Amino acid sequence: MSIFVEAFTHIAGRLRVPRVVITPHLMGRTVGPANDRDRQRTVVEAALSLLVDADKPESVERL
Amino acid sequence: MTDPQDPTAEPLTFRAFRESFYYGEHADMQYKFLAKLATLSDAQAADVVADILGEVGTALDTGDLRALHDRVQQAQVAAYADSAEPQVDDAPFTPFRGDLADARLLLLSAGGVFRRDDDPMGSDGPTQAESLSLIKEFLRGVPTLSAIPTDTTDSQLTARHPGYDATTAQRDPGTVFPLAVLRDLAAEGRVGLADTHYAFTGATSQSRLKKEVADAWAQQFVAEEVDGCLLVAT
Repeated sequence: MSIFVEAFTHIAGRLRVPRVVITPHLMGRTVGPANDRDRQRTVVEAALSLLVDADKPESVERL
Repeated sequence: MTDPQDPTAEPLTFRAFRESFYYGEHADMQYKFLAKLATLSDAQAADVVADILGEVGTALDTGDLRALHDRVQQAQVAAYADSAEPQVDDAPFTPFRGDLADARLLLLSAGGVFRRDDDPMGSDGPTQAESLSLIKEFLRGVPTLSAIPTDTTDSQLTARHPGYDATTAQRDPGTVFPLAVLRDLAAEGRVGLADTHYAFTGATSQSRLKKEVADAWAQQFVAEEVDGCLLVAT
């Protein structure tokens, strides 16, 4: 599964990655803001859930 | 910096000012999107800058950065909306079977993270600031993996990347390399982890990445009995 920032949503689409979590973060902070471990954990947990739950290619989860 | 006393200096246009953030005089990966606002006229781009500065003023008064964050994020989304990237023909998919706790999950980041004692460019590798002037060399180079064992702490990591401002990842590698979070989840029995994780600098030859190394990396991960990969883009 992959994590992309919203600015690059279209790139994830063109690359047709199997599972992608789109985050509303600034570039360079894909998983979450600096020193915000809670947010980073939320994003990683979403990616892990998508790994298990996705049943088709190009599954997208927007946070 | 421009010499204000230089009588021969050309007037700086707003267009030139915008473009100077993109590997120019004011090169700054935090704000290079100002040059990428290609679909906007200078007047519209000026409105974006004015809005952001207005939010800076508000944030200084209130201490609340959310509106500022959102305005910059919206500008980044607008800036890259029309960027052309290669398109692939297939959409591979493998259902995940089993229990995450029993899996061997691997973290792979394009954020240019590496161990402080294992610089992929050698012990005298360029700083983040120096890397910006080497962007063309990076984009021609062969991508290389930096191996990062599971027990590597954030304080043992640093980052370099001429495509985004990696000083953020230097402050907190978890922004693009959430190994510490994964280790927490593993300690709670939520997920199993591979022994080694990897990062590379995404600002690299995309052709070489696809044709020369991607398949070898996949085979390497298979040999390491990895069940799944968490890929982090920047």
